[in-house]
Amino acid sequence: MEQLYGYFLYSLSLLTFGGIYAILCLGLNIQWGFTGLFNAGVAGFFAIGAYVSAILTAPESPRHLGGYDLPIPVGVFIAMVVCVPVAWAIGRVCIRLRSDYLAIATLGIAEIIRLVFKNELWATNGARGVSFVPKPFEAWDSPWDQIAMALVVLVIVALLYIAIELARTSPWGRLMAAIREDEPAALAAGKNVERFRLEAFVIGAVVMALGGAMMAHYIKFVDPKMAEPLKATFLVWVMLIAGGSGNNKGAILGAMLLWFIWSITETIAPIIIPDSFAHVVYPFHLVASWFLPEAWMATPIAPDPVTGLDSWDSKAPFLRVFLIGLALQIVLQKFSSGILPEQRLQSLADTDDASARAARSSPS
Amino acid sequence: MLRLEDLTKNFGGVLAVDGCNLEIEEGKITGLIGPNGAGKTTIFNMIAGALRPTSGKILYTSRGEDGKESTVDISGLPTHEMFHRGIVRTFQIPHEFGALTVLENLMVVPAEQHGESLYQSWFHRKKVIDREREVRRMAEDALEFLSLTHVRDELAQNLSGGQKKLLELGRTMMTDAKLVLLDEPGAGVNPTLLRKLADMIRRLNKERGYTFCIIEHDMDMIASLCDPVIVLAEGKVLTQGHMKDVRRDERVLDAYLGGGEEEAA
Amino acid sequence: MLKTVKQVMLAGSMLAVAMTAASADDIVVGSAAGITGPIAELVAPIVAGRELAAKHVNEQGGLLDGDTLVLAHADSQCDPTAGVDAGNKLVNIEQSVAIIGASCSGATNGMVQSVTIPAGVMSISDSATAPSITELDDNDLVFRVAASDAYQGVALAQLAINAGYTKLAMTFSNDDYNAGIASVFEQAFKDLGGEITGSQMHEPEKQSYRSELSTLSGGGAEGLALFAYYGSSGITIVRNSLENGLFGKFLAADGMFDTSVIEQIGADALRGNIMITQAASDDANVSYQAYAAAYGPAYESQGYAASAPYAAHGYDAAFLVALAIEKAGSTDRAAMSAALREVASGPGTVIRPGEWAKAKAAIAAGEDINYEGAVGNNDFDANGDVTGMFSVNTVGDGEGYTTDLIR
Repeated sequence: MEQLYGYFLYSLSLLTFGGIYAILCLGLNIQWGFTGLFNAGVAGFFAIGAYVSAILTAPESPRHLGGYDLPIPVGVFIAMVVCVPVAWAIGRVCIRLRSDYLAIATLGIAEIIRLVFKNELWATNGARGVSFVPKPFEAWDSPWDQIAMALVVLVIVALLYIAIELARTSPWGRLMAAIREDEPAALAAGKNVERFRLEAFVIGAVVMALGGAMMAHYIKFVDPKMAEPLKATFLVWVMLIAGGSGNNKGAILGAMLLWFIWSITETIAPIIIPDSFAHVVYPFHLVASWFLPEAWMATPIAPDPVTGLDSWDSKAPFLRVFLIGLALQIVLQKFSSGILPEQRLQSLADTDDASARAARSSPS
Repeated sequence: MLRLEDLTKNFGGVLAVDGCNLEIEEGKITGLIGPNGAGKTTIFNMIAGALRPTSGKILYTSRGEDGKESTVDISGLPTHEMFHRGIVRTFQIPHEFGALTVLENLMVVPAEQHGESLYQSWFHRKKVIDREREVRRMAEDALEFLSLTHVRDELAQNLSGGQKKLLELGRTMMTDAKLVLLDEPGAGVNPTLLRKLADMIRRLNKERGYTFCIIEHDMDMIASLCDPVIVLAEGKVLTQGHMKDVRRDERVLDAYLGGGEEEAA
Repeated sequence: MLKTVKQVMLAGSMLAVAMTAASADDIVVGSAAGITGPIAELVAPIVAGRELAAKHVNEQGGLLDGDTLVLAHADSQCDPTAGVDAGNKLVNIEQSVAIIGASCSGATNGMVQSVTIPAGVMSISDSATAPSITELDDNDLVFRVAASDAYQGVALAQLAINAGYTKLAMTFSNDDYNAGIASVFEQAFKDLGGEITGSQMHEPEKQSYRSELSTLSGGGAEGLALFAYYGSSGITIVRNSLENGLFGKFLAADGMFDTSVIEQIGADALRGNIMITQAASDDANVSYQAYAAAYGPAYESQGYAASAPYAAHGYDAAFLVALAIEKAGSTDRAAMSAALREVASGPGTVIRPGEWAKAKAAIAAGEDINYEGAVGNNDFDANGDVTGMFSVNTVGDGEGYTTDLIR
């Protein structure tokens, strides 16, 4: 019984984490999936959201700026508002760049933002991070606090989904897709392409800030490590690509699925994979580590057949890096446009227009 | 309705267009011909706002709501400004929105779509849907005109080359166009479709009163469609007039056979 | 797709069966560590220390009624997000009685604030040293056997005063560890009557630190207090200082403790000119020797030394958790922290590393016990911290360090 209760609590944390990543994915979907903006700086907007909301809501501390003690929703809201001028300024400068240059520029800017948070000790406590960030409903008894937290995140995901889906299915979404598909033609159709690209960039960034703020409140702690590109940018990209860019359901599915796989494999791997498999994997891992950047490869511990003391458990984390790569390969090979590819919808004009729909479905 | 005065475009020392003076008259189908590199597409790009002229003027005469004519220099305005003045262009190589359906490709174009504002598409859904119905009716009419109704829900990237050409033309029908610039509408199109295309252009000219300016290499198409024809060479107007006369002009032959003869001499 | 879903679900149900079956006579203690990530190489010998303690327990009668102590590992990656995820798994899936870890301060901060404190699970970290952990409002659930940087900063400041320094310049690398020690040192040195003539933060991995050092050398300081990792900036700073005649005397914390400092700078240049503090264990101590005698042979083949940083802390943390369970007489999470306080400090029968059978018998007889661990007496203060023990390392007559325990 207690075990089942434990699974229940763990699944709440899976949903909360998955939901927060889904928020980030939805933000990136507006930029990349709809409009084709190659933003490689998700981490920057994530960091702005996380730090601003954390500092505004955390109790006073001699280590960093703070003591404003604002309610959490206010902190989150201000974090999103703060992101608007920042994203606007970045977009104003970078948005005209072609996609690969935009990627380089945004990647660089995200690093600058992270380093500012790391170096402005008076405001952020630098590398040591901001503690005591309040968590919604933390005063409630378990499991209600965790249920409420997961629900809040899921409700945010649902509201975002509805809002973004409404936008996608309206002429706005169609125009964004047109800009992504062919910019000269969109210009020739009289559209102010630059303004719309900027709009998509800013809205996507604000959604990312919301994701960052939720993460800070869930973890109750922020440090610059959380905004490193590997975790906060590339993982989000992988989730979106695997789920299906351009498709909001795909973005949410990709985030949930990849987080589930990531988190669960560590627990399952040692059970479903025999010990001897470690000896099979190790050489591959070793070879891969010669070619891939160090940050991508966890340092492997060689399986030691002699002592038997160092249990397989402690090697599972390494295997999971391998497994997640394998899973991603399979997904991308089998579903080249993601698990849920972009769907072109019929016109909004069909809404509540049963006769028109009937007319079209009948053979003509 | 459109007059170019000493229009010049200099690409880092290469004079693509060199003090060009020409006039496009309202209601006519003007042909623009000339050998490769004569500057035809560059002129289109400048009129459509895709390129900024190095010097010179593009004078555009239009009739306001009160019926009064006014002439302004529109050189250097951005593309969307040109579009709102009724100047629409197509591309030599079709620029379709590949991942959008054929119907959507056309529905993107019209101006004044409330649903392009997020606020409206969230909070004034009814208004957006009403306008969407109008736009779709317009698009469906255009598809019928183009005989593309059967591929209405197909993704544009799956169309044949000829169908993409038709779609290019279709986009110009989705707005209150006054001057339509067609860049080689006949390139890579089979003879049957070419005839249909010429028919459509003629009909649009007559029924909707579009003024056309067409770049084309197919002389038969030019001869059957265009009057007058303007011949460009090395960024300047060489001659202009009816196709019969232009064909007889020695300078035109020289320009097309061009450099070779000079070298021989 | 559907097939994949089915497989995942199948794997999930297998997991459930395996877990329920295992829980009959296994007692699970969570072990959160940065197994992958930036300090993976440092973490491996620490995890081995934890495993060694578990082995001693299981070989000498096990827990309670002969139950097996099982360490469930989870990867906290040295990252707060991963720390929370690891904590969730250990608390909820593994149903850990208590948790050892996490390794890095950031991961520990996230894990304890978001997961273990709300869940009422006790945790003992063996290597998180950030002072901010001391301040947590933790219901007496967060402990650590690694001393807070605050203590090392104070120890170094005292050392500097004792050695006659009154004016020092200071530079620190911008990472959570070095910046933490630096700020404590600065305060402690001032409180003891010293003066900091200038303080500069520096980014690691730069080619040269001349400009920072020239700025600092202007204040008339008698030496440089240096808080950095030797490899990423420390050695370069010492070299730049000596080559340009900016500073000749150095005080440093344990990020600088490595023989490569002597190899690259030269023993002659450093002799009498450098003092490096380090979190230490008393080698002469009976407890440490008992631990080292067991650790060495078990892990030699894997290249882990008993003296590896925080390996002894890993052993003590795991052994203390086992003692707390035995003392509490149950696997009730709520009873752990009170039991831990009872077994960690005197009075009572002294228990040393490896003496599980003795401890078990004493507890069964109703006696009080007092664990004297490999790293020290492990007497927790009100915040769950230990004072720790430090050594000072200088370059003596030979080509290596001379180590003296600070008492």
